[in-house]
Amino acid sequence: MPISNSNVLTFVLAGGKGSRLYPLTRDRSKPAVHFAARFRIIDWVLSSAVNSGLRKVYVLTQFKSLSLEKHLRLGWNFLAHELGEFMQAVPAQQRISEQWYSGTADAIFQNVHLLEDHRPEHVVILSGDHIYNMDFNEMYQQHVNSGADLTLAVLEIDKKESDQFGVLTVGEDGEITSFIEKPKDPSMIPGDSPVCHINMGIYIFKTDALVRELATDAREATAHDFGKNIIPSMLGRCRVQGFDFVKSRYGNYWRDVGTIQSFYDANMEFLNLKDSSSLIKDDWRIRTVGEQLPSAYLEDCEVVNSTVGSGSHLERCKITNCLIGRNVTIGEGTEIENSIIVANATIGKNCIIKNAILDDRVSIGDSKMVGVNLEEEKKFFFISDGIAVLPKNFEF
Amino acid sequence: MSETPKKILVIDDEENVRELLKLEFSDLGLTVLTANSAFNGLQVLKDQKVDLVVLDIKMPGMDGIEALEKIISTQRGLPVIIHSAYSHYKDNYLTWSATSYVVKSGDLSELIEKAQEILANQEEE
Repeated sequence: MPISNSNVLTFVLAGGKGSRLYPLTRDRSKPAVHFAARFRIIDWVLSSAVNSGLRKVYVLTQFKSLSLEKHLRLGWNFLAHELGEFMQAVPAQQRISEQWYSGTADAIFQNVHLLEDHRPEHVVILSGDHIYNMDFNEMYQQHVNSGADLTLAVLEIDKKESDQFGVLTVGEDGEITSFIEKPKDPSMIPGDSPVCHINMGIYIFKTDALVRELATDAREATAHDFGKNIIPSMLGRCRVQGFDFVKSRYGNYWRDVGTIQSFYDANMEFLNLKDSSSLIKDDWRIRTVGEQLPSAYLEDCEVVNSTVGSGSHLERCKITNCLIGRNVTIGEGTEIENSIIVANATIGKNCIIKNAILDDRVSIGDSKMVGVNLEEEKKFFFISDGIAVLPKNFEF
Repeated sequence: MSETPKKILVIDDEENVRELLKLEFSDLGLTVLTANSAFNGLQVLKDQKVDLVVLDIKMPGMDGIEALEKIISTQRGLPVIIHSAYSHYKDNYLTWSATSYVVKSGDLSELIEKAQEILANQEEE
């Protein structure tokens, strides 16, 4: 049973501050951070939504949302409104009170009027923070067939790595039987297995069950969060099913990219995911803002395992394992390796840049070193886990 | 049993409903405050602590649904009974955050029963 737009409404939670991604989130929310020097993080979940046939989509924004809203307007304003389709940014409007969203559940509760307007049978709730591909039809099918009040996507990981996630126990019938949010110690997780299942923040609710739970939660003094409050309180009272992401069509890849290190690693991984492992597939493409720029111009360069965006101009430089975005200029004699140059950067002659992230519109003069002497460079820019991060508009 | 009488706020634009509920709830030993509009009711809630709100829906100006949203977001935990002549608002998701929904009728027993139940639960907590 494929997803039908007439009975499904989708919310994408895109208000995450992404504090651990600072300074990339200094000027924008986490979903608007660039990925692979070409896309924004949110492009992944929106592409999966549209590729799955979810075409009534509200994107709930909150902090530093200008960049994200501009991206949605320029890149995602293509659905047919006259057919009832939309991809609509909904800023936190404080229409009920003067409070910002206090948690993920509160973000939906403050927009219950949208559910009343559309009266869908099911509600899909997605996070705009993660990199993955997913055909939501598979999960929807299980949700409808099982008659669950809530189906949530789960991912198997090592118990030792589970302290930043909501950890679940899934029975043989798919029913979720326990839930612990961010367990401090792996021994708190039931079972002897070295692996466990985590909550991926991908939910399909029956609308009535969702509103009932949100309304009950709203009357109580909780964190108003799906992971901390709504899901644990539903266990035992409601039918809560787990959908095994690994068994799904594109279940081989999911990354949280919540820290500079994990963000950097996922970008580098992107370079090496080829053929069937590639994150961009012929039948599952990733949309982003289009570029009206000429193809990249490379003059006598040595480029190894790297991508170069359109409009870029590279002169007699050496580029190894890099993601170079659009409209980047790199001068003669410069060597760059294992780095991400987002877009619109100007890099002078004879520079050496290693293990670095250069955000949008960074400008670097001639003969500069980045990522070479971290102790010294700490005085000039942000270093995290051995990665030099130069924020938007930085001049060096 | 608490010694201070519990306080109920009745928000209804119909004077006869306000008076009737005032009489009935007063007979139960409760202190009854009344407001003839949602705006005035919200003002009362800013000034005084109450234990339960009985809220009409169809009122001139701000309706009970908007008032309910404001009450829930500003006074978490304050129980609200919707008391409306119309039953179809029960299906409206925006009314689901009310603690209870009672359709107005000549017989007030259901409303009184719900109110007593809610207030008794508060004492247990």
